[in-house]
Amino acid sequence: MTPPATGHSPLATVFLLDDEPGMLKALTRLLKAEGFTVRGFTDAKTFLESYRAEELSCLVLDVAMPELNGLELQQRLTHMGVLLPIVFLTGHGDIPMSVQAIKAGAVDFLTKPVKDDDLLRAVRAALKRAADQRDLISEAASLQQRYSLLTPREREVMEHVVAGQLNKQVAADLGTGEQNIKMHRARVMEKMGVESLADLVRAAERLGVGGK
Amino acid sequence: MSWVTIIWSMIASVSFTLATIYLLIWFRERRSWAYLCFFVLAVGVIGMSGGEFGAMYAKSPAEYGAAIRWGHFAYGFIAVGSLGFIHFYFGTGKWWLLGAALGLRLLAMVVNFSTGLNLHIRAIQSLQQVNFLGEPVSMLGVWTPNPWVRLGQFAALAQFVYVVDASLRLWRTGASESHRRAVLVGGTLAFFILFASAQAGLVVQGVLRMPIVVSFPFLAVLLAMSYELSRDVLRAAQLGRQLQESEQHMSLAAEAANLGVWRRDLVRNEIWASNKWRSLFGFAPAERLDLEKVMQRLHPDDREIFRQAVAKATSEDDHYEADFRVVLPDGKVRWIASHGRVEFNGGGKPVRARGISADITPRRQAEAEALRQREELAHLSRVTTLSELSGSLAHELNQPLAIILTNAQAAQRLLVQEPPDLTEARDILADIVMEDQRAGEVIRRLRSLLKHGETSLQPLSINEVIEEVLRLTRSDLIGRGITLQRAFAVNLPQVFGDRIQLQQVLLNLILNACDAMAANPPAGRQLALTTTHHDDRVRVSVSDNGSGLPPDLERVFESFYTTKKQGLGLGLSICRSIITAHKGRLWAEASVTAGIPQAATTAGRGATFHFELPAARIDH
Repeated sequence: MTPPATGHSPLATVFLLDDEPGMLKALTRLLKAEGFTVRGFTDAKTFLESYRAEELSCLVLDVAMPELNGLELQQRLTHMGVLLPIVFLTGHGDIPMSVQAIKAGAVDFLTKPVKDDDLLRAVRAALKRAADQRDLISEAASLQQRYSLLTPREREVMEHVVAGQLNKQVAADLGTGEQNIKMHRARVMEKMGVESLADLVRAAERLGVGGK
Repeated sequence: MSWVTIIWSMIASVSFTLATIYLLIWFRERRSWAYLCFFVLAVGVIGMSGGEFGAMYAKSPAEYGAAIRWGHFAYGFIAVGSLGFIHFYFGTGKWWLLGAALGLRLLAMVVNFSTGLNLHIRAIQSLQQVNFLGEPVSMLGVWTPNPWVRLGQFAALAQFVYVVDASLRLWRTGASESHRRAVLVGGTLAFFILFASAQAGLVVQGVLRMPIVVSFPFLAVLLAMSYELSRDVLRAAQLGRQLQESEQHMSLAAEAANLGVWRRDLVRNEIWASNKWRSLFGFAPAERLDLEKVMQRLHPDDREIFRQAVAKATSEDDHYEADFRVVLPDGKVRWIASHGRVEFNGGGKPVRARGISADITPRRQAEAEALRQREELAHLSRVTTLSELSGSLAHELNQPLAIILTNAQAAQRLLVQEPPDLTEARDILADIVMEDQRAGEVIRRLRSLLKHGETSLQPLSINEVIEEVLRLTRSDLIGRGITLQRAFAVNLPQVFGDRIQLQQVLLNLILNACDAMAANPPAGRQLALTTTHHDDRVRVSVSDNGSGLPPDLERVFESFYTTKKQGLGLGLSICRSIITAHKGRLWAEASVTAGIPQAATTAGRGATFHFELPAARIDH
């Protein structure tokens, strides 16, 4: 198969959940033609049992299903802490239902029969959201790692600095010389990979450090 | 003319007249053998009077002897005729006595022709002339009697005993009619048998100097008998009048009840029918009728039914019953109900059929109207039920359309790729065709439920009918969060029914069950469909664990009973009339079946509706 013209990674996986086998097959064909990896299921239980987090994935979910319906599955996933962007499909969508879905974090709420462009746009939006989430997560992870390299002294200095204290105040609080603080501060900036005080404050916020 | 000539010719002519009259009557009434016996007796009396007359005017002893001999011959007829008459008319005589009397008389006849001149006389030497009734007639002069005369006297005695015995027996039967008959006919005959024998005997013995006059007393016997017979003829005429009158009463009653009376002679293939019957079938009053003509009047579709009813009545059992249509000459159609009975002869051969026919057109029209109204009502209820399902049905149609669209768009994308994936495109097209057919099926099912249909019965698999209904309600059940359990018996016999009407019943029961569970928590809505087989009946059960039924279970089947805001209250009442029309029954049960656990929070106890239909008998 030719690589898709669109810019997403071929590793992107679309989970597909529809109790109607004919619909599942048709949607699988459409998404595969666009180069997505598709994993289809006809019921929520099997999906939950075999779900493994992928690097980049989203879920296309039929609302009306026997036993566990789409909205219930969405709640279940949230409780489980699974961050999977969801595109809803429904045979006869009503407004309260779509509002509930969107409020609970759904990317889109589409009514069958759905136009291919609409569906693909929604799937891409969902994958984009997944990618953003991934980026956010990886940024947070690198900050955390940098932070772990700091000595206890350096961490104390960082806490005081991001709280907006001057070097002199920090030195007074910690009972040491201003010169010493200056050196620690430079080491912190270097280890955390930031150029300015503003960047350091932002990193500290992310890490939940300081801000007493 | 002399008195002798007058009297004897009178005896002969009276006897002749009576003989002729009763011979003619006997020809009409072959079974009345007494008439024939009377005729034989009368012939005998004529012969006897001739013999006596011949003897009185005999010119020679030989002539005299021959005349008496033929007189004896005639007496044989008298004996056979009179005893036969007693035998048939009284019906009380002893066979062996009759046999003995006739046997002795036969022997006497043999002797009459084989010994001497005749039974009485061996030889006559001379005749003599005497005055009789103022006229000279021939009489025995010098003669020798035949000793065999005793045989004749024994025969007469046997006759006498037979007649007296038969008369006494008749007397003892008790009726006044029998008394008169025994005295008048039996008494007269017995007396004159003795009288004749004695008179002839005394003449032959030379005690009485006069001619033999036996015919005269037997004329008296003849008259006594004819008096009795004429009473019978008169009574028959009276009976005929009474019969005619009662027939008039009958036909009056039949006409008042609008009944046509008919009678068919199966041997001669003739049909007699009352005027009312003729007007029912459109025949003229005088028109000659036979089975073929009647058959021509029947509606072509009903001729076979009629033929079979006739064949069955004449071969299997004597009862005949058929409803059929008659097409009148002006083209009007009339429904006729005909009942009758076949009469068989002694040999078990059908000879006659008779019965009545009535116009049942108004009843048939009322029945047809009632059926039409029931179908109309059923249709109305079907449309109402389907409108409840409309959301679900829209989804059932939408689903295949959505699949078709997505498949088609996938194909468009596959085909612009280089190289295009033709295998996949082919699969897609096959799926599109399948889904299109599925949509068509939904529309076809819908249309058949919506259309005005006449009831059409055919063998059906009830499990299949249920599956079809479930396909229509599938998304409705999902939408309402209802869990469906099915327990279908395998190898279920087919039922004889109207597919649409049975689907309507199932649809009603399923939707009612769903409505009853609306107040249950979403996890506790359980619908169970079960089919089972009981003897020669197929049972379908629809169970829910919903709000339950009123204490009086039968109320739910009443018209206009409803618990729904928009319900007409006709659904279950129509369901019951449909199932009843299928010779089945529909009933409710206010309990939870074993298959469904009761939700703890459910206020009601759930309900089960069962219906049973007779299994269709199909001979393979």
